[in-house]
Amino acid sequence: MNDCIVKVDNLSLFYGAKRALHKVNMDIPRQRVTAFIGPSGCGKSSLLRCINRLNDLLDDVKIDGSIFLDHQDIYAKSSNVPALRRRVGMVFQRPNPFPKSIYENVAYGLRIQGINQRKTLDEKVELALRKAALWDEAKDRLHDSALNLSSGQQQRLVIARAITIEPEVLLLDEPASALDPISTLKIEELISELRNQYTIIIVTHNMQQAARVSDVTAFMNKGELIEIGTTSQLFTNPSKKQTEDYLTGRYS
Amino acid sequence: MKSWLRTDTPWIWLNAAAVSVSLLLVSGLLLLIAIQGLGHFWPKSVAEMSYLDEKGQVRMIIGEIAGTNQQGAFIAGSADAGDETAESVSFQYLIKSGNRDVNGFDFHWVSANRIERWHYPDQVMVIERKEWGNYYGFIESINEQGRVIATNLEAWPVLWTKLDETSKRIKKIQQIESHAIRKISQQLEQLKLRKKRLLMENSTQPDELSLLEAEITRHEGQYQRYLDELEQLYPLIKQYTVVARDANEQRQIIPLANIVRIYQPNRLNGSDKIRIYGARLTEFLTGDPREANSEGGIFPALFGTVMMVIVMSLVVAPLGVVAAIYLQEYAKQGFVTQLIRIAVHNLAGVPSVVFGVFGLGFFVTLLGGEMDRLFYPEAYPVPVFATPGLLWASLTMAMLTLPVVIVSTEEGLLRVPRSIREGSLALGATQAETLWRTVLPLVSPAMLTGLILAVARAAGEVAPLMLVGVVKLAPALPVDGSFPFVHLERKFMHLGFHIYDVGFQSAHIEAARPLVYATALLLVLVIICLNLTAVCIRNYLRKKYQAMEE
Repeated sequence: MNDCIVKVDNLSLFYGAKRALHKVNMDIPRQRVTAFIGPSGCGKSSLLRCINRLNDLLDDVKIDGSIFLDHQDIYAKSSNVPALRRRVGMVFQRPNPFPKSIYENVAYGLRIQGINQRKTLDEKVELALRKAALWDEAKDRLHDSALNLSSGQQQRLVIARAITIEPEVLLLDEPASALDPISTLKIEELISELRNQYTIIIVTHNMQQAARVSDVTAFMNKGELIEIGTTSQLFTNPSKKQTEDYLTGRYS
Repeated sequence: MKSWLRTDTPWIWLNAAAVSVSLLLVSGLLLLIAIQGLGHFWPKSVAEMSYLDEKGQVRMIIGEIAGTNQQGAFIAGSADAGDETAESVSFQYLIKSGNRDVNGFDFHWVSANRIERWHYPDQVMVIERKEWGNYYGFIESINEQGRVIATNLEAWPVLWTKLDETSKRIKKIQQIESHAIRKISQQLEQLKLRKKRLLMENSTQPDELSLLEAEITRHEGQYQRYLDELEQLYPLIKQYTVVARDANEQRQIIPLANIVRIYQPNRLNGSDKIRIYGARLTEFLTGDPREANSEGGIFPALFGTVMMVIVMSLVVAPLGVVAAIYLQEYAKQGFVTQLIRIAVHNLAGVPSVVFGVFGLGFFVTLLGGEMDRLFYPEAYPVPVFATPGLLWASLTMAMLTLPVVIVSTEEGLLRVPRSIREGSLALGATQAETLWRTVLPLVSPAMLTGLILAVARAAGEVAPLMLVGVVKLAPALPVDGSFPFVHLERKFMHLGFHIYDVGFQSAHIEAARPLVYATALLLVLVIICLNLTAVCIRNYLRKKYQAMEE
């Protein structure tokens, strides 16, 4: 694993007294798709939310260790959190469009940065919608409420919203778990499209999905990283017994 | 039966009954005040009747039937009060006979079985007067400076033309009195204050002082000219009078200037009645009160109520919303926050008069006193802000309704899904940007709910207002044409207090009672209007931000 963009260094996370992550060390390669798999509550979403510091919002969270984004410690005191989140975009489990028009949803991140020129916005919104494979469906109703879209479309809209501001890393937290099979397929296709431009980290429950879309897979259990490796190697020839048990369904 | 009790049916009936009772109570209340209040303006027929008084003498009376009483209970001020023989305990009519200047009171109780004769003469007339209430009687003649110029039937056409002439002159006088003179005296007042200020500051610019003095002299000259003009106008409106006689053939001279409206109630057809009804209703809504508030309009009270509510909303809405945002979004949720929250909730339960006392002590005396000391030293000892007024009343009401706004905004903030906030934060927005761009629009319906409750509470409140700015009769509206147009330091009138004043502090209770109903109806309507506006905006916003409901 040569060129790594995100380096997780000895990271532990506590929700109050409860330990969610325990001394995780991990290197995430640039412009690859990395999947986190593992049973529910194993800490894979928590780890993901550490990478853009979204856990900061919760009361009673304590974080030890550090995460480096391009060799910069994102948990350093001098770190600018909004700027970090512009570099690390995120898509959530359930589509969460803002109650605004489709156009305003996609333009949101730009407007936050103070970009308000109509022409720039128009271009970037179109580009993002095209990348998210939503342009053809949405181009005639850009100023309709985003809430009128189907949930599959909403999820692609949310991805478009995340990529308008051109982040370096895109975090996907079970992006297809609330969607029907066809929408799931579309999202997976989208991930394959985007893999060339972004570093993608995806949390998924669905092992087939991980196998289909990812280059690298990390298996976690009970807050610890058990194993990380290229997807083909991890799925065909896991080095740890726990991983093998989980993959073959003997996990208990 | 037992099996029936186990079904849902009795429970449904019980619930439905509770709803029906509530509906009945509310609609009954509205119906009562609507009928009593709106009926007051309808011109009723006027009867002339003869009856035996307690000494067995025949007496004549002219008036409207204003009510009946079956118990025949003792009623103070009634014509045959104190007579508690069996016959009086039967059925009584309350006759509004007017002519307070002749009889001493407007209303008579007359037992039905003492009435001998009763009819509705065509020629009877009602004069609504600016002073002394209504006059009921017959027209004799129209006089010009004591000389008779028309009598009996010929009097009417003459009366109309002279009445028209007089009312034009009165309008001119009012124009001078209420606009020109008031304006000039206000300007004079300000000039004098400026002069006083210059003297206090030991100004070294004598030019300025002499300029001011010249200005003051000029204004005083203008003031005197207006007074002279009025001197000439006053006798003009007094020259015409109506001579009328009442049921007992007593003559009465009424100057035309004193007449608000004159009509012959028993000769009116439907459209005439509707016209008079409309005119009276308009007078009620747009006119100034007369005769210690028991007659005339209530416009100043209506205006004061709405104005107070608006100023209060402008204060309470931002303050409450900002406080709620801090409590819910920024403050660390813990013991102290919870304590503050409980304190805020309890504030809503403090009796309103306590807020009034606080407003008087804190706003009026302390804040107002300081403001006067700092900004208006020249006005001393006349208080500018150190006296109850619209601003302090609005601020007191804002304090009173603050908890409602805070609580409902907090509830609104709680209902905004976390995913929406996270979505915005994940795009690099700060917490403040997230609040302004995404969360607050979603909370706006909840804020409006809070404001609706606040407005409803504030508009109906009376007790604290009596301490911090409401008066029985305000000399001027809080908004007028003289700079700075909005005068928040002025005292104002309020519908709620007006109801109390007319209903309980009035010397002519029977005459004022219908006005109490009419004013109450208006107050309810005002609150409904204010609320409906807010509800409409809220529904629009809700529709716009449906996501919340999911």
